[in-house]
Amino acid sequence: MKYAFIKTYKPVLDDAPFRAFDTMADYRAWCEANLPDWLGYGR
Amino acid sequence: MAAFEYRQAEEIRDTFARHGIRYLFIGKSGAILLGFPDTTQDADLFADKSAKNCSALVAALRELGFALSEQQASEILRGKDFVQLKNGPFDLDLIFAPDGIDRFSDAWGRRVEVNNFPVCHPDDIIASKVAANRTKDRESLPRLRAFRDYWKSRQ
Repeated sequence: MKYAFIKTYKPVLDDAPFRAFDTMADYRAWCEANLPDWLGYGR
Repeated sequence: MAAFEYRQAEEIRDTFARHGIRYLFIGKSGAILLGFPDTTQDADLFADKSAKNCSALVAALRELGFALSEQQASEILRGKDFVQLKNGPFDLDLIFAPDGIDRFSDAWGRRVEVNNFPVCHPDDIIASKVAANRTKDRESLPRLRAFRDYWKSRQ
């Protein structure tokens, strides 16, 4: 468990220090519109 | 880019306990704390949205080293559903209304305590991933379900 947390750079997602979304739907929509498909945040 | 390590999960646990915060580890970080053999890059925390809890949360995050501006703190205090923090010693997602779970109190009642970490029940972790239904959730669900069955058999 000690070594289960591993950090790699995720483009776009890691490029802002803070984000807040009114609803989860807003967050999901932002992910789909802005993140590369290969990060796996799309539906 | 801030890495997240197990000792930082312990720092969250200990700092949040001192501030009396009601929260649960959720997502893959929660599953890992229950023994799920996988890796993750951050911590996902499901927090109670009450004003008192959010106020304590802001104080605890600052104590942990998150550089919250007044505006950013107000976003947390106003009860946004999802807050992503990358301005501290590690990455943290604060989730106040996860997909697939109706109320914090429901998940709190089903929580699992492991090494004093408050963790969502595996059924809730799975329910949130089923409802989110992202590519990465669909990839992890078969193993998470199998782990849940194994975990239950050991309780």
